[in-house]
This record gives sequence, structure tokens and C-alpha cells, in this order.
Amino acid sequence: MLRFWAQDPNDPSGTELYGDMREYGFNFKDRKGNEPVMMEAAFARGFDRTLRAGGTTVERFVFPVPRGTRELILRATLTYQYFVMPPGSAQEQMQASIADRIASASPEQQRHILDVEVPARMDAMHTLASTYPDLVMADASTRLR
Amino acid sequence: MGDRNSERPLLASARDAIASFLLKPVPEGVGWPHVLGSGILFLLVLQAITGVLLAINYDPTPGRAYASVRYITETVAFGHIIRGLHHWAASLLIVVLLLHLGRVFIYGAYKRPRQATWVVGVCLFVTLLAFGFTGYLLPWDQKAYWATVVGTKIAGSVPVVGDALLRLIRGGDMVGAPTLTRFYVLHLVILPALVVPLVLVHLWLVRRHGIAPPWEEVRPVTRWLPFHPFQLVRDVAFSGLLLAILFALTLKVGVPLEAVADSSATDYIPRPEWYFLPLFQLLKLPVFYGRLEFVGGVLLPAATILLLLALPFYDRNPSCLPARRRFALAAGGVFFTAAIGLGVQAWIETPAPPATARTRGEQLFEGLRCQSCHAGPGEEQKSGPSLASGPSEREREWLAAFLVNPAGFFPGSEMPATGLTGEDLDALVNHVANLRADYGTRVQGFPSARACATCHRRQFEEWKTSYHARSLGTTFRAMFVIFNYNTGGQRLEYCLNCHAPDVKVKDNAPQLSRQLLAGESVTSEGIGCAACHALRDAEEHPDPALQSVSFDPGPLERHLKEQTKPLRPFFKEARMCGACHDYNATYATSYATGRSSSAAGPPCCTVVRTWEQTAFARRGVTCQSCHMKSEMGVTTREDEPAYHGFPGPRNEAFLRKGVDLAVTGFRQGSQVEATVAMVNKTGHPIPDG
Repeated sequence: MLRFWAQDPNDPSGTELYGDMREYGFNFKDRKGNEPVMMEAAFARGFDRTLRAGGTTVERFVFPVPRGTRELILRATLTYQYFVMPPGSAQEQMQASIADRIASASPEQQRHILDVEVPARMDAMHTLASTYPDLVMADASTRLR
Repeated sequence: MGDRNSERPLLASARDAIASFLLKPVPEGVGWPHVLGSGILFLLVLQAITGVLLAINYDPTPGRAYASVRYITETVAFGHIIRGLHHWAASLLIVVLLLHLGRVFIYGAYKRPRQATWVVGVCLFVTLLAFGFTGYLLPWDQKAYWATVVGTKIAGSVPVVGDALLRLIRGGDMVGAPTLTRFYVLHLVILPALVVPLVLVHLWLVRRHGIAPPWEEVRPVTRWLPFHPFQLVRDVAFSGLLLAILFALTLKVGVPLEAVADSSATDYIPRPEWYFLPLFQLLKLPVFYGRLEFVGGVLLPAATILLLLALPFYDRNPSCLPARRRFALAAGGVFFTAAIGLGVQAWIETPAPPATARTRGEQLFEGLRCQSCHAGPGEEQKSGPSLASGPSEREREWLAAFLVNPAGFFPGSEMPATGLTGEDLDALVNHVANLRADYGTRVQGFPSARACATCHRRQFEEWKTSYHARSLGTTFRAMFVIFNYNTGGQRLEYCLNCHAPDVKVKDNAPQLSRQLLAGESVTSEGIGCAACHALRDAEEHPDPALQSVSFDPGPLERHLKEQTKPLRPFFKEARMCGACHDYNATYATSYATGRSSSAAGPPCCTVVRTWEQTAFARRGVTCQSCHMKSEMGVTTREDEPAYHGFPGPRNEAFLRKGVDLAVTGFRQGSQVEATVAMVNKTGHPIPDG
């Protein structure tokens, strides 16, 4: 994840004048185009944007600054996120899939899904999301007058 | 040539200086309580000598620090004694320092004209605490690592400058290679450079103002005695006693060394060295949680030191008599009792680290230095008979008798009598017997990493820090649970083929899957040595799908048993890593559904296939060139030993070597255009693999 932001060094509050992010990585989509999906349902890559091996990736950010801003500090940080929680839409799809299974399951299977499977899935997601902090791969800044 | 004449006055003046030192009069009341200062001096000299001897073999890099400490302890002649003396003297130094500080306080010896002596002494005390703190990290074991994580974190609690301070101390966001280097330099260069002048100034001040007699108003000094022999004999005797204590601790208790530092072991409960326990407990008080942590961690200790430094200046009571210093003594007593109380509470509340699973037999084997002369299974022959064969049941009695009196069996034998009897003797005999049996089990089927560790200790210790060794850890279990539900519990061995490759040989995937899903401890060690060193050449299996990965442990087994050369050049190639780090999601799909696999489908990990298209491949820079180099960068040196810690995307220092980032911008009126350029310096996409 690339985060870029600009600040006025003379502003003691440190307010960001501009900020933006770029995401790199990939996920999978299924035959219906739903993404992200787990590997066993993967039909093709969905979002797919990585830093090319041995290559240079350039990002441009254009933004206005308030009048009277004499100096700017431009900063960028590239972080590595080991696991990113799926977006809300994907989580809703998973919930809908589980709801479908519950609807067609026997009472005993329903109990197992609700009492065992769903909590286990939630625990697993929580573990994945909380085990590894984001790590900084690179950071840089420059001063602009 | 004229020096001959000038030598005499020089010798004479040296002789005069020694005579002046030895005959310097000391008050009659000076006695045993006054030996503490010279005891400290003795321990400092001992620390300097043992420290230099340790530094000769110590390697201050995270990959090798722990292994070098083990090497010093287990292999270097007298290494465990040198390390033991250094370790225990560090603690004893603080004990004697505290007693000395207490003695000076109780005797009121910090009062005029000895204020400067006291101030320098307190500075010395703080410097020696810093010595303890910096030296603590150097063994790079779990206790060292986590105590340093907690200790340095306190600096981060300082308002405004906390983050910068933390980064300055650690050399980054985490305790790692830069921290170890910094602490090493502090411990070996900067702190000694502070201690030596402080000690000299302190001694000079003691000589100048003389030793303070005890409560001179009660017993006015009427008689003076020469330092030699009256006090010198006591000083030497006390130093001898300290040395005896140190030897006793070293030989009877040994030198602690926990498992190698593991930054992912977040369930480890750190406990600092005993003299930091009061501070450690103070920080546990709820009032110091959150924003007020710096008050307990920084402000209060700093205030205590300042109060100690300024003691002679605000305690202007000229009397040294206890009866006339009730308030001062009571305040000191309360402070001392509180510190002791906090320390004891911390000791009780903080569980001791888990004991290493070493048996009494192992401890005796190491303590008696058996391995110095006797090779274990898989080791090269040493001066004594090899223990690789071990004793049979019939031989056990013979071995027990032999260990008691070797010369009775072989007159002139260099083997010393162990001096063991009863249970200790049985324990050692059992351990020698187990060496072979245990080793035999470990090299069968899919050889355990512990079998390889018999000879390749360094690589084993490095591997233990790697994610290969934790391939069945918390994160994998979380993914495995989800995979289990998504596939309806079918074909779970798909994951295990790479995360626990021994299932391919042991055929125990269902059992291991049950253990993983139930959250139980598992019977697999994850991706051990055999996962790479027994992997069959991929060319023999043209289907690259994971389920085709197969192993041939035979050569590895033979190597472990017979020390043959087992390993093929294949394990130096990138495509060996590709067996697990390059695959398509299709394989998972087909495997989960039981249909045949296909090379088509969405790529998941592409590190090797993309690497093949880069200049890295053409230059012969492989996965191993970066991920198996101790300093975590590219190497092309053939003779450099491969690093088995396998740094990857969860290691910040390693990640930082992979990408260069540059920000530029220009401004036109109220519009700014900024450009961020990211150069991926690796031979594969980021992220990937």
C-alpha cells in the first residue's frame, strides 16, 4: 500500500493538505465475476496490480494547495500488509452463501454451522487480520518551495 | 642511552607511589564493611577480562549471536566458565554495589567533604546498570529479546520525542539487527569508556579524602593504621570470597540460555534481570497504564537518580550519627523496602520461563563437558571414543562402573572420574544410551531437523527463527480452518504438502488435519530440513502441480547415518523453491475437487516463473542469493554459508532492502504535481509468493 500526503511544515497542527493511497496486490474472482474469492473458487485474477520485478512504478498525484502556502513537505510510505480483510461486499457474499447452506441444511447441520463453523471462521479472520502488523518497506520525503 | 640513569628515579617514584598507596593510613574503625568498594573494583576487572575473552568468539548479528554464545559455552575451552563468571559477576556486581551504596548511606559517608565521591559513585552505579541492560540482549535468546523489547518500549512512552527515542535506541521500529549492533557497541566501547574514568576519579577522590570512619562522633579517630596489611588483607580475602561464589554459581547452577530469540512468540512472558524487577513491577500498577507509562518508566527512575545525586546537597545535617539522622534513615529504609517489595512481588507474579526440556542426563553431559572429547552420533571423531554406538543394556552396568573409576579399567586413561553416584549416575548412563536410540528414530523416514542439528547446530538455530519452522503456526491454522469449511473438509492434505511435507512420507495427513482443526499440538515440525534437502529433483516430475511434489529421503538418511555426501546441486536452484512458492490457484481448485490439475488457470504465486524472465536469472542470482544470506541482501559468493532463517515479507529490515522510493514534485501557482517512483529491486513481483 502506497500512502502519499502533503503537509505545510510551517503549520504547527500538521494538518494534511492532501493525501491519497495506491494499492498493490492481487486477488481472485470466480466464474460469475465475484471478487475476492478463495483459491479453491478462483477462475481468474481479479484486482491485479503488483510492482514489476526489477521495474520502476511511477505514481502521479496532482492537487491544489491553499494560497499563502510557501513551503510543502511531500511524503510517501510503502507498507507491506500481509493480510487485508475482504471488502464489505465480499463479506456479504460469504454471509449469503452460508445463509443459503443453512436454509438447505438439516437442523443438526444448521446447529453445527451456527455454533461451530461461523465462530471458527470469524476467529480465523480475526487471527489473520491481527497477527501481522503492517511493515514499512520504504519511505521518502521531499521539501517543495 | 641516558634512560638508564633516568630509570632509577622513575623506579624510585613508582616504588614511592606503591608504598604511599599501601601505607596510606586508614582510621582504626575501618573494617569489613569497607571491603565492598575494593570488591566492586575486583569484579569490574574480572568483567573486563572475561568480557574481552567472550568478545573474541562472539558474533553480534541476530543470525549468529545465539549460535556463537552456544559455541562459547559448549565448545571453546573453559568457555562455559568464562561465560559463567561474566554472567554471575554482572549480578554480583549489582549486589555489592547496592551494599556499598547502603553502607555509605547508613554511615553518612556522602557528607562533606565527600560529596563529589558520592556523585561520581552514583554515576558509576547508573553506568553499571546500563552495562547490565545492554549486555542482557547479547545472548539473543528469548529472555534477552523480550526483556529488551519491554525495556526499550519504555523509552517510546516519553511524550513528544518518544518515537524518535525508541527508533534511536532500537535502530528501527523493532528490536533487530541494528539494536543488537548498537547494544554491542555500547557494551563494548562506549560504556567502558565511561566507566574507566569514573572509577579512576572515584578512587582518586577516595584517596584524597580518605576512607570515612564509621560514625566518628561516637568513636573519634584516635589511631590510624596503614592500609597494608590491615585493610588490604580484608580486601583480598573478600575478593577471594567473591571469586569462590562466582565459581560455585558457574559450576553448580550453570549459565542460563533459553531458546533462540523469536520475535513471533508473542505469548512469551518477559521477565527482566532481577535488579530491574522493581521497575518492571512498578509499571504494572494500573496508574501507569497508557499515557502515564512514562511517569513510572522514565520520570520516577530519573527522579530517583537525581535525588540520589543531590543527596549530599539537600541533606545538610552535618551529623553522621544514626540517632541524629532518623528521618534520612527512615526515608532510605522505606525506599529500600518498597523496592524489595516490588521486586519480590514481580518475582512471584511473573512466571518463570518454561524450563528447557533438557533432562538431568543432558545437563550432566554438558556440565561435565563430555562432548569436548566424545563425538555424538553424526559428529566427526574426537579424541575420545565415539558415543554414536551407545551402550547396550548389558553394557549399562559396565558404563556406570567405568564412569565412577575410569583409571580402574584403563590405567593411564585421560578420562576423569565423573564423581557421580546414585540418580545422577543413572541419568548420565541413560542419556548416553538414548543418544543412539533417539538419533535412530530421528533419521528414519523423514529425518527430523533435530537429527540434523547434531552436526549443523547453527543452521538448526537459524531455522528455528524462520517461518519455515512455524509453517503450522497460528496464521496457517486460521487459513486451514477457512479452507476446511470452504472445501467441506475434503482434500486438506493439499495445504499440508507444503506446510508439513512429512505427510507425504508418513502418510498421516488425516491425523495432522484433525490436530490442526482441533487446535491441538501437532506431530509435525513443519518445513524441516528434509523438506528441501530430501526433495526430489523437479525434472524427474515434469508436472509442476503441488500434489506431484515427492521426496526421496534415502540419501539424506544415509548422510545422517554415515556422513556421506547426500545433497544434490538441485537445492541451490530457484526451481527448488518454486516447488512450493510458485503455483496456480487452479491446482488448489482441481485438488479440492479431485479433478486432474492443469497448468492453466489464474496464477497465485509466480516468483519463479517471473524471476526466470529477469536479469537476475541471467546473472545467476537465485532465491537463495537473497533469502539465504545472513546480511539479507544479494550475494554471489559461493563460499558464504547459507543462512537458514529465510527472511521474507514479515521481516521489515529485509523488506526495506527490496524497494527504493523517491518523491519529487513541482509547483505551478496553486497546483502541485508530485511523482512517487518505486523501484522493485527484487527478481519477482511485489507482492507475490
